[in-house]
Amino acid sequence: MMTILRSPRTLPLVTACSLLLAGGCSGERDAPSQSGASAGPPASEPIAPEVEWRTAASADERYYVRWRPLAEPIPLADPFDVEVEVWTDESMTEAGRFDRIIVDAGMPHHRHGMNIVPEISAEGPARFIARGMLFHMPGRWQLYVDLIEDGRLERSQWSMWLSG
Amino acid sequence: MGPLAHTLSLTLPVLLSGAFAQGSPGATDDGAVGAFAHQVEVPAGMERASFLPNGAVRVAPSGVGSGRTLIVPPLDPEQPIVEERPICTLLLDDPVSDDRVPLRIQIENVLDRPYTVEIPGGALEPLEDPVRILPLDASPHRKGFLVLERGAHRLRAIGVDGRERFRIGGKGAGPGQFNFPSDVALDAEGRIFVVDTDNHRIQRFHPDGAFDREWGGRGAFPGLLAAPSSIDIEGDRLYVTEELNHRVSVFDLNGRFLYPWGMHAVVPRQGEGRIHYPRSIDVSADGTRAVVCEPFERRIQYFTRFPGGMEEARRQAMPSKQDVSSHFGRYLAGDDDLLAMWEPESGAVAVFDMTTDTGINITVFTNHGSGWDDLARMGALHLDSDRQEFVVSDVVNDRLQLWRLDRDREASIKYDPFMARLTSAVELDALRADLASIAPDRSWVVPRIVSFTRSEAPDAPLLAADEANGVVLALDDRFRPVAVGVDCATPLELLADGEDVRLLERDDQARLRLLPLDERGSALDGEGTILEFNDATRGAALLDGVLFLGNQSGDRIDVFDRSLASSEGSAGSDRQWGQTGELDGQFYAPAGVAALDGERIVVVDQGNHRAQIFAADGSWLSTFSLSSGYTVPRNPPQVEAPAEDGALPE
Repeated sequence: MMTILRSPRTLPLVTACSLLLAGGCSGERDAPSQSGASAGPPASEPIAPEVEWRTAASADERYYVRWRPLAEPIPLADPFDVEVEVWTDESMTEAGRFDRIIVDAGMPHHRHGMNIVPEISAEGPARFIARGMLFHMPGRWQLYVDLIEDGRLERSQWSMWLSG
Repeated sequence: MGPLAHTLSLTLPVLLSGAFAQGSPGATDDGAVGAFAHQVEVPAGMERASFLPNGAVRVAPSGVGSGRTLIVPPLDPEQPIVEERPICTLLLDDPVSDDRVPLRIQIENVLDRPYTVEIPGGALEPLEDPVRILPLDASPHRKGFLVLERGAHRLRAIGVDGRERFRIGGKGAGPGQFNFPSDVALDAEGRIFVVDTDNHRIQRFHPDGAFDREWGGRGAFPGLLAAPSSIDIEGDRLYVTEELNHRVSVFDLNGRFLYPWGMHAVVPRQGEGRIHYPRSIDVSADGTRAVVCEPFERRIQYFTRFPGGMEEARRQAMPSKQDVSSHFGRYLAGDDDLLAMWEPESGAVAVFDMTTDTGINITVFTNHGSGWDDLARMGALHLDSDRQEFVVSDVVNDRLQLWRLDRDREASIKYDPFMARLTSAVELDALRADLASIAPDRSWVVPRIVSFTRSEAPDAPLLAADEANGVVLALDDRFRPVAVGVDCATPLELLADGEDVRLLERDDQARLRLLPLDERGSALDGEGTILEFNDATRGAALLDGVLFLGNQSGDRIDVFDRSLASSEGSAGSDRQWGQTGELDGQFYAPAGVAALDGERIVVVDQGNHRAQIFAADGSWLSTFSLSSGYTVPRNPPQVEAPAEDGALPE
């Protein structure tokens, strides 16, 4: 049984403070229902075929993960969506098995992450869409896909440069 | 200007103006305590200070338990009186380990008169790490007492008959849950205020234990809190000490921020109103004086009212840490050419390249928070230089993390914020489930890992000292248990020296013991070596069979070498180096010790906000911090004293 949770990543201090002023800073939230993810094309339809996939193995090579943005170039300070696939083999024939998936991004140089939390929906056995990613400033970003099974997490990550 | 910058520019003035403009609608008068009066040195280990009716101050090791206590008289503050009789707040007739214990409680440090409750045997569930006991006869509603159990993350209300009236807590961050609570207070209406330290908040409960409200949240802005450590209520004001903001914050009883006082000390022993890691506060009954205890500085400071009242209190500069470039400490791990150190204030782990004479900061990883790659409070830090890996124990989020360094050893040394990456993590509840399956004969709780090490033997597992279950665990590379090692009630450090592994622990007689283990954590002999060493620090390193212990209260390093040669018996330190001070080679509260490359010893000199590197014989080699390092001593030249006739020496 696969459940999908939104990222629990803690917001940076300044953002957290501004949210406090606005009425509260939420942490980890309930999983959105799959039916709630109404935007986006049907699962069977290939999306943005011209955009290249970026592929990596997770730390212990239990998963092979690839992703691509559904808009290229990735927009600055404008929400965009990301397509993610999780497989157990390098040839990508068997869908990965896990309990939770988290898609997140951060800027280690500035010691903060995104200041919004994307919504993730399952679009197929190995395919997910993370909606509402936001790179709010130019610079070097890292994108993380965390897969959690039985309380154990494995991370795959990529770096990219976003021009101003 | 990016969105974040907009947020900052808009948020800061609003926060500041809002916080300071709230006023004190509930205050009974305009008086505001917080003006520095004077300070008194106290011995190491003193954590709580409280006023007596005659104006003297009683200083005690903790809120619960017995021990040497001081009375600082009001008229001769430089001469504390050592009171050898224990001012006990809790007397147990039997060890806590029994299922049900008869209990006798005396509370003197709150009411300043004996308050004794006799609990018959069998009536009360054992206490777990009690840190505060508060009589409820101060409340108009109830009789009995409250007991705050830090390790159990709970507060229990006990009647005089020993029957539990209610309990609050359970580990967590939701309303009514706690993460290592450290203090509790009552107001005149019997409402209960709990210092929820690792959730960085205050929680208020109705007298019957029902959750009422909370405030705080981690941060440094007015009204936010960072590691609140104690609380006192006088009238309609609530005073909170914050260890990591190095200040006192004052609220009304509804959580509205009134004003702060205190400021981080820049150099040790600064005092004079600057506060360093405050642990307790007590405000006199008339609200005109306060005493703050700072164990790190071995000091109490007295404060009185600002002559200009609340207006002057609010005019004081916002407490600032800008003068301190790095707090530097407390957890440290070193191995060959790498060093890692966790800084609680920033919540980050700093990594240093140690291939040169001083440490050079090459990256920083993790932040304070609750996410999988965040860290709330360090329990232990392990570094494996060959693998370029770090293992982190987070005792608040209950996770272990594995970080890996993408570092080219052949490349020139440079700072790269992207160098460390989280590769995997595990929830400790999953580890508990694994332990229950491999050792079903034991009762397992969620582990609390306080130290790691690994033997250099081929394929040796990672050893982890589990304080919650009182045992050493052997873990594989995915943090799955492969063996359950020796029992240890109070583990302090696991140490490896080549293929040799030792456990440093407090034994059942509270003595410090060094026990040899095999690579899977089992004891090689039953007794080990008892060390004659009374400091409670966890800082230790083992190098070529020599043990180096950081002596925080003595500001020195104690070295055990020849005396460890025998496998059993008692050993005193064979040599020492260091003394109190800020010159190179001197220390103020050394908080961590690590061995490097088989030759050097690194000491985190926390009070001086730096680290120092020594040869194994104690010779000073260099000093460094996050942003600087040097190998030529910066000690001032020794000036020869003038001759008796006043002539300067030639």
